[in-house]
Amino acid sequence: MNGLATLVLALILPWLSSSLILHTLMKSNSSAHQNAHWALSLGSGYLLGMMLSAAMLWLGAQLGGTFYFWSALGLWLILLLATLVWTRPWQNVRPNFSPPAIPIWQKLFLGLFLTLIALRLTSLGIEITHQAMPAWDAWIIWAERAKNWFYLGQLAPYVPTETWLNAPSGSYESEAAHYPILVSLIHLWAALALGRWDEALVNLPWLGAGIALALTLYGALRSSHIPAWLTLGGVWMLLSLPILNTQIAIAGYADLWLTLAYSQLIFGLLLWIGARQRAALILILLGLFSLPLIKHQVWLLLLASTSPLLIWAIFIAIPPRLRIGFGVALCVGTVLFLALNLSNDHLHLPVLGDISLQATQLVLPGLGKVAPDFGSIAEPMLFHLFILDSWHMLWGISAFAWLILIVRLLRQNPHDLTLIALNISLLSNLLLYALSYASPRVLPFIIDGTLVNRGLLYLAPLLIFVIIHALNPTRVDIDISSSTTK
Amino acid sequence: MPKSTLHTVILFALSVLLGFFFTQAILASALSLRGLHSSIQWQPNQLNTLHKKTDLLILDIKPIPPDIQLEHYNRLSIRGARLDPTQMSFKITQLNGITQELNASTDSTTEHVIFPLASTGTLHALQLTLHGERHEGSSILHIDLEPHPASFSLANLHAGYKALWQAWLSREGLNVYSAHFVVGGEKASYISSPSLAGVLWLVLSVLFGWVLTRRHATVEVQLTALALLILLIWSLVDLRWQRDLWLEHSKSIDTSASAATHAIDLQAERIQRVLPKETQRVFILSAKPFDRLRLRYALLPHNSHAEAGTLEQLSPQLHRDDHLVLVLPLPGINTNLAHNQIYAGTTTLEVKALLAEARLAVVKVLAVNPNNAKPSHIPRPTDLEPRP
Repeated sequence: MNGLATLVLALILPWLSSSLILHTLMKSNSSAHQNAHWALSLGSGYLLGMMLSAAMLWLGAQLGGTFYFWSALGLWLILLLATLVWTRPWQNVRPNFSPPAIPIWQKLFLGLFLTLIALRLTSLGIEITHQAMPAWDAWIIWAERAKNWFYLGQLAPYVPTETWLNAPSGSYESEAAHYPILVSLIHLWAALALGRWDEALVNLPWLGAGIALALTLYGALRSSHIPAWLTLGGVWMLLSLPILNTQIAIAGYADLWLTLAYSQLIFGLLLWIGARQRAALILILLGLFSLPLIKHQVWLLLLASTSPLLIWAIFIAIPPRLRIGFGVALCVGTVLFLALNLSNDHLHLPVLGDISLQATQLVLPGLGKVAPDFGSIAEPMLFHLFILDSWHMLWGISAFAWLILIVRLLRQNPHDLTLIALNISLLSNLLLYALSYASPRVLPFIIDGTLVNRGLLYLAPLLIFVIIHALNPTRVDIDISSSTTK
Repeated sequence: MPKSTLHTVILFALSVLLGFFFTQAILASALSLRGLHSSIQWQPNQLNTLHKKTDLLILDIKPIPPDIQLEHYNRLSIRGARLDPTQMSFKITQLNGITQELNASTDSTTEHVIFPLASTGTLHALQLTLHGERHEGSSILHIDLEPHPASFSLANLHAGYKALWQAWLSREGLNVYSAHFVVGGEKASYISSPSLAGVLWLVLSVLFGWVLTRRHATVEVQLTALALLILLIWSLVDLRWQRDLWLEHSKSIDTSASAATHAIDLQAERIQRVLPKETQRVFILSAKPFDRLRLRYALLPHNSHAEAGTLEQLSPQLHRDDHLVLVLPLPGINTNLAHNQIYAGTTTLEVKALLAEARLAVVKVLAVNPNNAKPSHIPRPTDLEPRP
């Protein structure tokens, strides 16, 4: 099979091992959550597995100057066997638990959606294994480094183009020399498994990322008590989205991995706030840890958009008697931080950069001057989101679903915390994306269409989560006590 | 199945059908009111002289866009100054070879000459003939092929309906701006976008469904119906994308998403064969940044610089034993590989040719002469082409 079997093994072993570990950590006493937790752990396990594989390659190169791929694969095999012995997943089957009967029409739709999903994944699989690295960003940034490291057998340094001419011998030039290396290491992991640099097959992990994203959405929706037929309908919507399909078929961009990482974070927060499920904490931690490792700058926008939910999640994680103390500590900490980092009109944020106010002009790190030009982004946004078919009808349906969500929220008493969190999340994303897209630094890429779709891809699973929640016909009073961390 | 549920299902199915019918009616009406075709304009620099005498001038108008159906247009017109309508005529040639001569209408003026058009078929060629001596100061600003004016008529409605289906069934290729396919019908018309049609169909179906079932369907049933409605219309809109994805599989490497990069990858294979493995620095020069960067990727692990667009930008950095990859032709650079020299402005490179093709050369730099010293061999025009 010329390395293909090893490649499949190199994807499956980390995936299964990490998923089993995460599933053990996510385990709850509620039988209703079993399938959902399997899906969540498989979705997040893939991301964790690829990250750890990349970390092993990096560590090997740092310590021994080479990649030690076979040792890493052997380690994964041992880890899988050890995890199987430790977790004994075959013993977790609960004979007393019988799932509720499903009406025949729902079974029909389940079958239909499963068929459609299988067909789409087949179609994407054919495409990904036949396209010779066609994506621009892939071959000028991510795959370029991986291909080079594969042939050199070591992590050669990259320097900015302007310094390459005077850089020490062995340095390579790249406009994106400062970008994180995780995505390149994933390409490298695939190439080392194949034993050769195959321009198409090194992108196979991207198909896995698409499947992991679908599993994460499935798990998140089922954890929120959405019926299986509607959940699969949502997964079908996600996997049939043209913009997502092309990110898988014309693989090699970092955006799919960022979408997967952001989905862990946002779904983790929503599940934690809605029902305080232990699985949610794992997702939040994985999302927070992986976001900065994937793509430069964008993670800041995504983190900022989730910050209201993050603060809420931290607040409810603290026992009630300690909350006042936490609030006071937070205020004192903020004042201290400002006192130490505020000078003249600049606020220095460690790692991120400076926030400054110059002549009534606010300057933010990564965004530059805040001078949004909303008029200029209206036409390209309308064209790309509503007229072209990159999104099918997702944005129109999302707007409609948000309306239903607000009506449902206003009618409920007591209010469903997930619905409140969803509304906050949508509002913060809308505000921050509008500010970012309309800022002078980003605006040219919105007008020429190179960023508008990719930049919004991260939100696609969240939007489908919103749609499916708005359409959920079953009224479920979530029994928090049954699924709370014990 | 309970009778009330069956009743609701039938009413929702009816709503979907009504929604579809009204969606088409609304969009076809909008198209017919907006007009289906935009005018085509040619500027004076697109008029090429075919025949010129003191009393006769024949001008060929180029380019003619493909698939111009004459039945969609009702006249040709010329805007200009001091024009004489009696001395002007157009000759139209259709794709099937039929020709027709058009004379100016009587309502033409010296600033605006109009030629009524009543032809059918595909436009292939267009010539403007000016008889007699030209008036001093006469000039042409532009020539227009003008479509039938938009109106709400049965014929236009029918044409709009046909155009809608044509747009929904058409297929588009890759977007060069980013890694996604641009789909969605004719970009010229927002109205024919399938996504927009899908949303309109959904909204109308929901409205009809709500009106028809609101008295006897519970909120739960209505939400279930709404979810099924969304998934149904979504899946129908997706059929078009699904077809595009499967059609993509049947494409050859030369027409697929990889086509643009495949040709460069083949060039790189030939370069790799002649480039020594121990090469320290490779400089890639091409007029197109896309070619330079893809070559850099394809030549890995050779350490290449691909950011400079001209040799003069590079020459201060070039050393003996550096290698140059040249994707020809390069503006401002003369390659005389028969005599192992490359000239660019005031720089002369003494080189050793490793590969010399009509559009590709690989050389090893032996010496860089950035002064104004005359090259040892003055190139003659025949020397400028690289050896085959």
